[in-house]
Amino acid sequence: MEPNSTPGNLFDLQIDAQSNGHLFQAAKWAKFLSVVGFICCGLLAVYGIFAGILFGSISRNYNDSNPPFGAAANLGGAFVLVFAVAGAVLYFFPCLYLFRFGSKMQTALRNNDQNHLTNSFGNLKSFYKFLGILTIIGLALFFLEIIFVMIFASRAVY
Amino acid sequence: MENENQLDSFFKISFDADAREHLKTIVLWARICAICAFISYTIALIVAIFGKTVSPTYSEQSYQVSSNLKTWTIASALISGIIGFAINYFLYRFTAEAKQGLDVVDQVKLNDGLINLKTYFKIIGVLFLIVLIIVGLVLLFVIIGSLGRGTY
Repeated sequence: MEPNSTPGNLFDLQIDAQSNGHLFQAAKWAKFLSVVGFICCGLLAVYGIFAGILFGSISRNYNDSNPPFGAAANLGGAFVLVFAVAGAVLYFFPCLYLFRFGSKMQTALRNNDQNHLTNSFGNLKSFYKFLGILTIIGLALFFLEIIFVMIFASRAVY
Repeated sequence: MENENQLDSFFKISFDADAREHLKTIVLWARICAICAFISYTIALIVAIFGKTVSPTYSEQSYQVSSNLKTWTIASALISGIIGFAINYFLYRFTAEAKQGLDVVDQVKLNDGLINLKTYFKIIGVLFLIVLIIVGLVLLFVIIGSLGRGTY
């Protein structure tokens, strides 16, 4: 079978033996990381659901004897459930992009498939874009937290 | 067969226009990630060193506890900072060399960049493996410990 490829210009940047090896290794490790990431996502979601159920049952037990404690347990359960599931969903997408990068890159390098190579780089691009936006949001929240802490600390002193 | 395949691939797949565009965007966002990581590790270290640990009472014991807590905070910020800096240094080197390789169509520079990308993924992978082994060992010890306590 003729490999699905578009021959490039000889003077273009090529996938030579060296870059082939480096990209293959990078793809292998990226695939491993993504699989571990998928497992962590699943564990995080399961943890959130179990914690939600546990807090819910605690809340039901204390609803009659100690209503404020029951309400607090209910709220805590909902908080853990929402944050854990949201975290798992948020963590799932970069793992998916990384997995696609790894598997498509391996296929591209094995079969000399130009389309798979381009798609794999597209997925790595999506991975870094997602991670970059998330990092910027995280850093902005970090700065806001520092500013708020400084404001509250100065109010506490004076 | 392997060599033949490698020679074959030399002329069959390349960084075409689409792949180059993707690589340019990868370089841009990976650089943003690396720089943000450098900034956050630095801030975390500054906060750990100069931040005050507030203690509700002024007793000798609470002073000892807060001083121990501060030491642990600085140590953990330093260790995570060193590891994070090392990992993101490779990501930054990848972006710098790949950008140069793409701008001046330099195969050697691009390959150097790809070595750094490979190293970046490899280090994170090895760290993950170490963490998984430690978690596995802790779980194993907990299970053995609880079984041991259950029999007596």
